[in-house]
Amino acid sequence: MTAQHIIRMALAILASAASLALSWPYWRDFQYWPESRAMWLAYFAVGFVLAVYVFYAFLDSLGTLFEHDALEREKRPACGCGEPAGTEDAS
Amino acid sequence: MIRIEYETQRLSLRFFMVMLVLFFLQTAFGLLLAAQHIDPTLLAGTLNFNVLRSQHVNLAIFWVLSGFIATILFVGPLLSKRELAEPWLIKVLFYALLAVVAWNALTQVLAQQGVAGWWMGQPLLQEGLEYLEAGRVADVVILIGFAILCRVVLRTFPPRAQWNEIHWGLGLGVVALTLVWIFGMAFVERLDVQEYFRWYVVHYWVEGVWEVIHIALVGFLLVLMFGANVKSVGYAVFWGISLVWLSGLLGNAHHYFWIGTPEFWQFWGSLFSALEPLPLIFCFWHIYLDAHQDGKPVANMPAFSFLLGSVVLEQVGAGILGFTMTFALTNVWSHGTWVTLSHAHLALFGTFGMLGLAAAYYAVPIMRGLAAFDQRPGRLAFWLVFTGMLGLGFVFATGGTVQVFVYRTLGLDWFSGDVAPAMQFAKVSVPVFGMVFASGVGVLVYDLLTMGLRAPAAAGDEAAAVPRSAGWGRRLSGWETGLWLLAMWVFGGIITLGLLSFNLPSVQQGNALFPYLMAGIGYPGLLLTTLLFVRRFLRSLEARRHVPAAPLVVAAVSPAGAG
Amino acid sequence: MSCKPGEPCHEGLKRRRALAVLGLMAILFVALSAVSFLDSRGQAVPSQVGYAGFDAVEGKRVFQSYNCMGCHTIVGNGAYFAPDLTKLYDKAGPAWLEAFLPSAGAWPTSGAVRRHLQDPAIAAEAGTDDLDAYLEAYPAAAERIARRGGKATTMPNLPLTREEIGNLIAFLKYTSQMNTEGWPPTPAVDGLSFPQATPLPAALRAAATATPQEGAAAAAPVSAVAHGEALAVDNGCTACHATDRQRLVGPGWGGLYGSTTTLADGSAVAVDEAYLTQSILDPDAHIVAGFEPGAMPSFADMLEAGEVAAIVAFIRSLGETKP
Repeated sequence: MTAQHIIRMALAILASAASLALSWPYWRDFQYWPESRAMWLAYFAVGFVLAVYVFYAFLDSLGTLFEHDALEREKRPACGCGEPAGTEDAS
Repeated sequence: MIRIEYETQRLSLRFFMVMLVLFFLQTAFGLLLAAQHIDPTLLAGTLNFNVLRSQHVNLAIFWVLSGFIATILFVGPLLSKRELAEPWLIKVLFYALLAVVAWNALTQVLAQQGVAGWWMGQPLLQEGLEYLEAGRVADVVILIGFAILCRVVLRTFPPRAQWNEIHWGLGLGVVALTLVWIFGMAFVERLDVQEYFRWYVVHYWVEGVWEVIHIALVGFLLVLMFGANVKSVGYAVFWGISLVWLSGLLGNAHHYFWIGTPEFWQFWGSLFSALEPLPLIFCFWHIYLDAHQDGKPVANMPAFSFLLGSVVLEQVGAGILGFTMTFALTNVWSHGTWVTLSHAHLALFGTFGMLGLAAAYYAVPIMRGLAAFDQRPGRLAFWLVFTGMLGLGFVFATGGTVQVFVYRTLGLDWFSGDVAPAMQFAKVSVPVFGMVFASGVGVLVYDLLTMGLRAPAAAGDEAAAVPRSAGWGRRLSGWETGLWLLAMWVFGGIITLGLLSFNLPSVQQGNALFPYLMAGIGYPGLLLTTLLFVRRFLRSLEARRHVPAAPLVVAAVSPAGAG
Repeated sequence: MSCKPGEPCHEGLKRRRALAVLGLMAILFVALSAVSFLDSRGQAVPSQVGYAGFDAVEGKRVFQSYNCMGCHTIVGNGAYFAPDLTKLYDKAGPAWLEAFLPSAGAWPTSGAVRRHLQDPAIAAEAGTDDLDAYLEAYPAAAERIARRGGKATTMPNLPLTREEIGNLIAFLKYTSQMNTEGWPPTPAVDGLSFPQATPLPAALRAAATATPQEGAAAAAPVSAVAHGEALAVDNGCTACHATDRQRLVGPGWGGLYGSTTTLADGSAVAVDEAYLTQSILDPDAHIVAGFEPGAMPSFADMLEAGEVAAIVAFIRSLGETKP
């Protein structure tokens, strides 16, 4: 695991935890067997793991998108087409 | 690309034209609805609100689908490097589309007499279900139309082994479009089961299939407009589509909170639809990066404006506004009020409507054989419809917040006596922004319909109008874009807090200050940020024209200087 | 193009993993759906809900035929032009709905609701045949009558038949029995005490605070026509009968008196005081051509002879056709 992986995983866990907290069911009466306390715990656990995965996949693919962009820029004949010389790009 | 490469691409032109006409009619119906909201007795008994509304909603679906079909037919040959298969079937599809639109418009009026044409337990003429108002006869014709589209697309594509991600996206998209439609084709006795399956069609269309087609088409338009690398676009299309389904498949459950389905859906729907903005953020960065690969001027600004509008309004309308009301804890308040209207209008018109318009602005000049065209009406139209739609989103959302308080918190349910008077300001503001929107629609429909046919306008001195590449026109960096996006999400967070605050005991005791304050900051903040961001983005692209002859010179000089 | 050159590439694996998770989610979705509609959950089912001999499934067809969802919402879905109907039966009750639906253009008055409570089938569904007990059991009906009774609504009159109205009420009875998981939320306050609510009509507020003396003064003699008009409004007559020649549910009253009308059996009859009196007390004795029997209830138990005469006087005042 590189540092990048750990950061992404930590972000995914944090974001999923926040989403989970916001997703608290408006109404729970535990009356119907698929809504017993044990089932609710299972839903929370499975839902959390799946959410972490989706967040992680999002961060991972977004990172790759930027890497692609960097690679493409390298490959293109370096060109400041349309970029005004100097000004803010130089900074 | 200045000329079409394959003759059958021309078949898309007629679908673009139908799209424009239907869009115009839909806007007109929208204005009538706004007028009826102010004076409910207007046309009552002649054209009741429910009939006008079903026309408004159905025309929206029809014109968005026309735009999809047109765009698919236009890019299909380019993707496949050969002519469209079976062009005669496309002509059949065209007349079937015209027939079913006319038929459906006529049968919807029967709702005033309570005539649905029941036969063998099925409503043949109209069935009075939101978004699925079409009767069974129209349903079957539409299904056949989708099947024709599938056949043409799949027969045109190269052998499966040669498919890239864009082929897969479009191929799966059109097949799923057809399959999902079938779930809306039966009368269901139980209301909960009926709503369960109705959302199969509506949600999986909008947030599954249409989104997939949208991602694939946006990707390919970027390839066409910016010469983006097909492989890296393919990567973005794959993960865009995967994220749409990874979040949207279970996210459909956000429609199963209150329809009589069990409460565990509240958890699944809240959690996974909270993830639904992820593919939209992803898609947004994709378009940003592709537009900034190089600094070449954008040849067709109206087309790119609408494409950007599509991705940004998808982010704001579907992503952020959808997020604010997707949790059971906020949805319990926003459900069934005008708050959802702001989300629906921005998301549906923004994401899918603007894509069709972008494709039209890209394709119509090419098919009419124009090397260059006057872009001023197109740019003007973009700003009118974009501003109009953001304004509509704002008044729907603020009117909706008042409605939530009066209708849900205070429990006042006399619409003409208590609820409508409280919402009066918003109700009156709708036609104001509606007129802005409609004038933009008028301009763009006229512009596209007559492009290349009317006498060319005196070539304006476009160069003079090019903004300086400083200030609002300077290059838009990734960091700055990130800050704009962050600002939008901060306002989205404020809106979410406002909706959550309806759960507070003090608000439930009748003190509306906090939710009103949050809505009063959040909605204008979000929509103004969106407006300014798009202005900033487009200005920076327009400023690229500033050095028209530069590329050669700079390219020759820069290898030494760039680094 | 998904890997950096020279680095190990896991793109294929990542894509397969994403598709596998998607498959897992699909299984989860199907599993959750499968337990959503089990009988053991005890969710209301329309085929098991009846209302005064009418059928909730047929009512759902009526609901769709008139595209009610195009203005109203049901379980929160639909247009946002008119109120949600999911729990309306529970709140306003069957007699109020029976009084409202035949002529949706006007809000029912207490008399109209009382009239429908005379029907034993409706009274059985409502649980009482007494208006005061009914208004206590269905506070939304009381609120509607007090604040809106007799006023025009913004809903168009729909050509609903007797059969359709019964079925529609059966459907609304079914939806109000549905378990919608706490939605819509129950208000914690009485909204009517807030400034956002349209206040009660001045006359009613005055009546609520009136002293007996004022009440007696108000009972000063009024003309038979004015008395008849008040009775016609209060008993809901004008919900179905227009005061001009327009046909609502029943024939319009304008110019009716003194005219000759054709009955369903083909015979002609002169509309005079005796005919009108009989039509109020025993509406099915003569059915005018083009109308159905049973649409109008008998007022024999609800109006005194003098009150019937006042209503007839009011009808006469609306224009007389000279023979």
